[in-house]
Parts: sequence; C-alpha cells; structure tokens
Amino acid sequence: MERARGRKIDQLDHAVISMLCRDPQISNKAIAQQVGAAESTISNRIESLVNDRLIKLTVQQEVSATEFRRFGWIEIWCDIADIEAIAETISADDSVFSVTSFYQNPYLLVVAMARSLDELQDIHETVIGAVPGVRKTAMNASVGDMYIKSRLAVL
Amino acid sequence: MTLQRFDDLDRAIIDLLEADGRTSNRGIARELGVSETAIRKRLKRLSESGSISYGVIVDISMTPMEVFGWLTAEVHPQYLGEVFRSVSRLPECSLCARTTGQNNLVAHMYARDRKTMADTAEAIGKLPGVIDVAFRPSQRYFRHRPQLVSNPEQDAQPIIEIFSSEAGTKHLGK
Repeated sequence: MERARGRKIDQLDHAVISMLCRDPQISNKAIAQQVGAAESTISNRIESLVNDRLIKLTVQQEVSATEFRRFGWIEIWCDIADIEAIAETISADDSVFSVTSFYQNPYLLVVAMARSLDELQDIHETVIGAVPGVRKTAMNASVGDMYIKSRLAVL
Repeated sequence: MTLQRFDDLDRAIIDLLEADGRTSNRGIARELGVSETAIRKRLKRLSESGSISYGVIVDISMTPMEVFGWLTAEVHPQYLGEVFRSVSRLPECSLCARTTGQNNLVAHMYARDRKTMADTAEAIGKLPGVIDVAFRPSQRYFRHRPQLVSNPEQDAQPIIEIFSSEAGTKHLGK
C-alpha cells in the first residue's frame, strides 16, 4: 500500500486517539482530565489530527436505513494504461461504494449500491459499460444481510 | 430494532455530523435554523434506533496494517450462513457478504503482513463447507465510502484493538 503521509504522532496523540476510539463522544474535558493535560491542548491535538487527515470523527449510517438494498461486485478487465482513467470516471458516480485496483487483470473491482437488482444491472450496463476502455466485466450481487465495519480508510 | 428512514432534516443533520462528528447540538441547531431541542430529539431517535452511530475512522497509515485486499470463497450452500458469520466476526474483516455466482462469499480483509493474511485465508479455507478461497491484494483504493456501516451492533471488536498499543508505532516520534 502506498503511504502518502509520514507525519509523526507522539504519545499524547496516541492516548487521545485511543480514548476517542473507545468513546467517540467523549468530551475534551474528560480526555484532558485522564491524560493530565490542559483542555485547550486536547482540543488543539484533535484539530490537528483531523486536519492532517489521520483521523475522522463522524457519524456512520446503517445501510439498511438508507435506500440501498443491493450491492454488486463488478470486476473490470482493461488495459493497464486505462486503469486510472476508468477508476476516476467510475468513482465519480453516486452509486459507487468503493473502487479497488489490483496488480493483475481484472485490474478493477467496483462495489456499487442500488435500490434493487434491476437498478444494479442498470448501473452495470449503462454506467460501467459506457466507460471507454472497459473490455469486459463480471458482476456478482449481494444476497441477504451484509456486514460492513468501515473503521479504517484512506482519509 | 426499528430502523428509521431518513427525512430531509435527518439528512441535513447527518451531513453536518459526517463532516464533523463532534459538532454540538447547538451548532447544528444554529446552522439549520431549528431549535436545539428538535435536534436533540432527532439524534436520540436516530441513534437509539441504530440508524446512525458515532464513529472514529482511522487513516490506514496510523495502523500496523500493511496488506489489504478482497477475499472470495466458494462455500457449500448448507454452510454459507455459518461461514458468513464466522468471517464477519474476524477482526481482520471489514466487510462481508454472500453473493450470487460460483464464489458465493466476498470479504474485504486486512492484515499486518502477507504471512498473517495467508494464515487467515488458510484458516477460512479450513472452515466446514469451504471449497475454495482466493485472496487478491489491493494496489490502490480510488474510492471508499466509510460513512456506511451495516450491522454494527455485531461489532464485538472495537477499533481500539486494531489501533492497539503497538499500532501507530511507526509514527511515534522517539
């Protein structure tokens, strides 16, 4: 994996992140008390970790509360020279959950989300299928419940 | 658990909290021109129903994980439900689903090195009913929407175990 940022964190940053992971809603005051630092120090540290995109404090939505019912895994065969352009084009679509590239063909795996199997097939044919350079595809669709944790990401 | 579908106000609140999960109710109220009480009620309903959860997403550069990729498996249909639950519970698994096709199980996995990943794949291959397992290491992620989760209440492994004492050590300035 490529690692874009080499920013150093210290023991205090580490302690702050650990406490946030345990309880994302913990107050700066409570962190400050536990680590024995000033509340303003904690607030600055969190701001800097967020600005440096080392952590993101957010709310996450339960997929079943959204309109998405079906996920599809679409493998794409293409020329090595076209990987980036195809991936960028597809990533811009709202129905796309993730786009992964690999070292061998099929070079790309797109995970797409849809309200129904019909809509998923429509994305497959009209969105993915229309991207120049896509040579062939293969799609599998989700059946039943899914499990998604999403605690790590490239921020 | 009755999941709440989102209306326009819910979506507006979620958008603000997605950008900054520590925005105060007062801040949200001011931004949206709604009373703080209304915001508090909404958020209580949304989180108690499990429709949203507060989370910390950690950049992969902060963890000891070096290998990421997609695992697919062919599983005898009688065992598919059990294998799905077993793989979902693994701390190395961030996404798992049953799918159509010959390979009827797909999972996104990570590990600290190739050896650990190979061991995990081998262990999955030995689960009853598993016919074949393959793992493809990712080269790059062009997109990922970490704001979506599913069945998070199953989550027995808090992220703290990934971001453990030894995690992030490569960034510890000594």
